[in-house]
Amino acid sequence: MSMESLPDALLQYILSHISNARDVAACNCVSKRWKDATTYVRTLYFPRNSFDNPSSGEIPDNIVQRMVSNVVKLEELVVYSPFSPSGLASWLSLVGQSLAQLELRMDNLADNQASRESPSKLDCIGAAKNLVSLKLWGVLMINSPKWDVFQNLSTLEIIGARLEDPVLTVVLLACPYLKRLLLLGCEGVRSISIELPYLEECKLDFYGLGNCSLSLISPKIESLEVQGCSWIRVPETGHLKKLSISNSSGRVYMIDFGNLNVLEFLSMRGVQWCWDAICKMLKLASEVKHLFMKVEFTGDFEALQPFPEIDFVEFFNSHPKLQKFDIHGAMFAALCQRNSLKHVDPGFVIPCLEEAVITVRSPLNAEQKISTLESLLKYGKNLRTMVIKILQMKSCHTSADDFFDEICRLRYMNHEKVRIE
Amino acid sequence: MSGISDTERMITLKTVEGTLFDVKSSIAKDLKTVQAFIDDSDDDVTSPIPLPNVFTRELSRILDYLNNHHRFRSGIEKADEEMARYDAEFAKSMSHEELKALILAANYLNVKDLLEFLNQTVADVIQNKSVEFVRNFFGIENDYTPEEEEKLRNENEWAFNGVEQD
Repeated sequence: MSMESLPDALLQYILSHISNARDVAACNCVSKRWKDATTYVRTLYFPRNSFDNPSSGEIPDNIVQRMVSNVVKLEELVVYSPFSPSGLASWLSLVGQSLAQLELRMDNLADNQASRESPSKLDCIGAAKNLVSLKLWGVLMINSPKWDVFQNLSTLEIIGARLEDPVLTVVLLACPYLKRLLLLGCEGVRSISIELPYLEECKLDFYGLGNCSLSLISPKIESLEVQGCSWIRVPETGHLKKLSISNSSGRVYMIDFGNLNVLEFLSMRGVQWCWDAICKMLKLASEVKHLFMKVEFTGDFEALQPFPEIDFVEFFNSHPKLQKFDIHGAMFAALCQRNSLKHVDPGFVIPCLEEAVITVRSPLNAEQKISTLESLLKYGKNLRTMVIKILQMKSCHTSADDFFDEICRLRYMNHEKVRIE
Repeated sequence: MSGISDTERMITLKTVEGTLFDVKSSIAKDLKTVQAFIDDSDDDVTSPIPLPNVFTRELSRILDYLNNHHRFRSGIEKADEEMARYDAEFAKSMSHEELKALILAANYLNVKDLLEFLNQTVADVIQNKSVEFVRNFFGIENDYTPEEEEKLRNENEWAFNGVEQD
């Protein structure tokens, strides 16, 4: 049974699913009808090693151009192989109007030459006026690109970049209708103010000293992840459901958020958060269902300090909807201080808690820690699972062994619920 | 015809080999060619509808696919995973010959979702294969002159390194 009896439309439809430029090139060689049919490909993807063995006499930029020109109404172009600004300009002059998605490996992070080339690769991207999604890898952004406003751009992803604040501002000004913004592995940001009225999802990962300042004004924001900031201001949070703040190199010292009435998930991570910031965050997140806490220390200055005592009852009463609680870092120790369980009485209930994952770092205060674990089991009426992670305890003292024995006993008494890792 | 709900009506289809299949009219709706035939008929269709281009093996597979997908869609929430697993098995269970035959049948019967799925499967098969493989798979004759072929090969030389040989 031969497929030659396939109508043209069906052949075009099958081939429109092919995206790897190599496969398209192979299809072009199959027969004349096939070469005509590859005109209807919707995506062209050039992997990193596309031109490791180039054809004699033709430079990669021109090969890409030839293949792009062979397609009618290209929707998506992905180029991971190296290219030049003039190459990019030539491709976009062909498809700039119809292109909806563009993904490029810019690869000019180490370039110092790039800053002098005009127009730059970044500048050239402006020709794709109707882009819906733009994703760039390894970009040097120290000169503001000459862009008009991207009217249709709803997703911008930049991964691995060296930025400067004013350049980032110019870039965001050109994308006022963004719904999704991802800036990952970005170096060089110090202070950034983002005002994007339609933004729903934002993920910022700034690396460096961990002392960036962020101001985000996006009233529709639903999901926010921030890494590497010490000062964060997000005044309009009426729709925020998912929030994650972490800082692995600096100290989080100021957070300023609006009401978090619909927040369901909160993650707080970092080496050091000021106590004020921790309290504020926990207080605002009163409706939260899943809390992930992994802050190692507190302290307002250089000195790393343990958390002060946290009252067990007060904590759970102020987070009544809590279903899942990840307690790592200093939090558990804070719930196991001498008076943490002072207000516990028989009528106390932790109503919604179903799952708890706890990391125990040391055998200090062993008795208190066991009491707190027991309280979680006793008053957590709906608790189904408790996972206790025990880190390598430095002390070779018998107290560590005793403590471990106590935890095992706890597990034995509650074997349906408790698991040790 | 009042009193009888649409989903209970059965349509009978006849393949090339003369095998008869009873199909619920809700499933028949997905066979757009068949549905068009039913819609065009003035009276209720009672006698078997002949399908001169469709063999028993293919019709059986198509109905299998549709029945399962209807079941997944009308059922429980996690159906997406089950459906994906079913689809993967379905694609794997066929040889390339059978896949081709099924596409032609699905195209004739105009079964949109199945066709989309099969076309994607074929596109996946073509991935990273040589020109010869593709020609063999589709039974295509090379209509390029030797000169044209040479020119194309040179132009596309970059693409042919590291490709799976048959």
